[in-house]
Amino acid sequence: MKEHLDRPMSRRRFLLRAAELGLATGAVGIVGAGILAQQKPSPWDAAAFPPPGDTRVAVLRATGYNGDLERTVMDGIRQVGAVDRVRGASVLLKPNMVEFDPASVINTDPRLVAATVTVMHRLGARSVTVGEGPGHRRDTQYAAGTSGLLDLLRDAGATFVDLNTAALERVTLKSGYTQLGELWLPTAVTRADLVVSMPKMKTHHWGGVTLSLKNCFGAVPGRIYGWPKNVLHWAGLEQSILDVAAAVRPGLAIVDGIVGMEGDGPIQGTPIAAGHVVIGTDPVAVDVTAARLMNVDATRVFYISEAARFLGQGDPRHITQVGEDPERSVTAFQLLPQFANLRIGAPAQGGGGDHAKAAGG
Amino acid sequence: MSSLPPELADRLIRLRNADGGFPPSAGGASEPEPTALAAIALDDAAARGWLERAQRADGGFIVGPAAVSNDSPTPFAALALSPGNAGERAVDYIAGHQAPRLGFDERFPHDPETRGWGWTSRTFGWVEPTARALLVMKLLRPAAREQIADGDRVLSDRECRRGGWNYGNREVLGTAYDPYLQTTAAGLLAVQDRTDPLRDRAVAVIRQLWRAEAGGLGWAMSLAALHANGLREPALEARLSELIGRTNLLGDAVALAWAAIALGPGIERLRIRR
Repeated sequence: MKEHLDRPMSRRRFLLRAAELGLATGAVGIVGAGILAQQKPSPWDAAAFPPPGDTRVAVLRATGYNGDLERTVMDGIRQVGAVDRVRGASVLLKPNMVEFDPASVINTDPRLVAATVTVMHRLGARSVTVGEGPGHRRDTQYAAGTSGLLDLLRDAGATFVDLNTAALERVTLKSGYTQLGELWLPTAVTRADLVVSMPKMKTHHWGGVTLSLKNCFGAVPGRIYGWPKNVLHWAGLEQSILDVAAAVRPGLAIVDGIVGMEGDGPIQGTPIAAGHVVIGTDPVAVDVTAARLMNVDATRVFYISEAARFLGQGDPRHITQVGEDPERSVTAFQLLPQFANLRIGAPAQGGGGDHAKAAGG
Repeated sequence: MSSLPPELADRLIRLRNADGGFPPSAGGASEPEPTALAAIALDDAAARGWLERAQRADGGFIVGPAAVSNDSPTPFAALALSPGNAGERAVDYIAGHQAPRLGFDERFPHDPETRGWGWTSRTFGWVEPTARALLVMKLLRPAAREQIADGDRVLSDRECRRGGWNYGNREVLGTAYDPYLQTTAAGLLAVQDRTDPLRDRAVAVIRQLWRAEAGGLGWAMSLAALHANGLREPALEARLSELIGRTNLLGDAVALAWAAIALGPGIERLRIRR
């Protein structure tokens, strides 16, 4: 009954399990250079995930956090045609605040979050809330307060909600990469008209990179799933990213790539000035583009390539890049040796590793 | 014995739901962890009544979906309901629900012979759930020597290089990880009775970290851990009181309950007699 809690689910086991469940086969996106066999299982409800269309992703130059970030965010939102999504909407901004270390760059910078709050108000949002459920820290007041986020939000006119302690409701999953079947998610997330995923551009020591899809982990409440969110690691990190992102369904993504983290991210890595903000309405397309800026081939990141089959657009032929030219905006993020095969142009080695694990963190 | 500041008691009582239980934050449904901690802090019969009604037939207290089965509130519920049959059944549950052993993994090394307790049933043992289960076993079932020894061994194994604890990984991929204030406080509560330097290192970490880690839950649990160990930190106590007055600890019922435990007679329920 609780097989999924007995041991971590490997990619091989995921495929076998999907086959056991008799899930249909077929693919929507073309991203993925053959990570899995040709006959891939499709563990999602096709009615819930219509094929993604063409989409636009904006790459905006921003070299520091003291510049005109409001203009940067406003320009990006306009360039990708997202103004109508904001007007009259209840908006939840979900930054990455998994942990806080004043000497590092783990978090989405609070100044970018505050600038986005202001932009949302200017575009006519009905309400703007910022929510996060830190994955390592249980003391959210420490993480949100010491980082300066709470003070900036007060000045910008947004409320903060601790997604680890907020009221919850049960959500039946419409994808089945894990065997969780359902998630309990904060109503601040499920009832928002627009969820904006605001990740930090970082490498990730288990998943390769962490961007707008992985950032959705912070919506999963620690008081149910533990600190770190061990149930998700146990069920398979990359499979969980897919199911959680498919449940949260962000309608806008704004990536803080002004200063990112390379190497042993998402906590112990080192800062790298990447100088860009990436904005789009399709989180898969945004992650594909942001990975490209990191000189990472998203087609080799298992969870992004899978997400491109049902959750969003991963085919570069259907992603229109606006703003800066991504090819001229690449900053090669240092990768841990086990992820060397994710580098654009690196020899293919089967694509990623099996990063499902029990201990997490 | 300290008396609970009335203003702090009022802040906590205002969170109580009509069913007698306490939610994690205002407006939510009652849950076992905030209710148990509030019952301890306030010596609250209504909260104990809610816990008795919420207790499962197997003695455990679960929050969240059955498939995940987060039973981590059970130790505090056991403490809130003891002495009595309901508390005994909760302790029985804890004794029967240690985490499974995991094989050694060099990416995040740990003692593979240990178990501890997890946040959720049948997953990895972590520092905070292990610490709370260990504390309650020492308080309510001191004869369970094997499980107590295992819990102590987990905390020894997971101790960070400089002392104290984070959520439970002292090292990942060859990098030493630092301790956190809040989890160090959770660990220190459970090792009050130990005479080895581990306890002293935890105290030193708290005294070093609290000024840098300004947050309600970490401060409140740290004060509780120091007081349970017979130690005082007047500056921390003053800063916590100021933070409560200024921010209401973001309305976090667990943090407010820990503050009330730390500053009131509830701390006596957490003190291990040496």
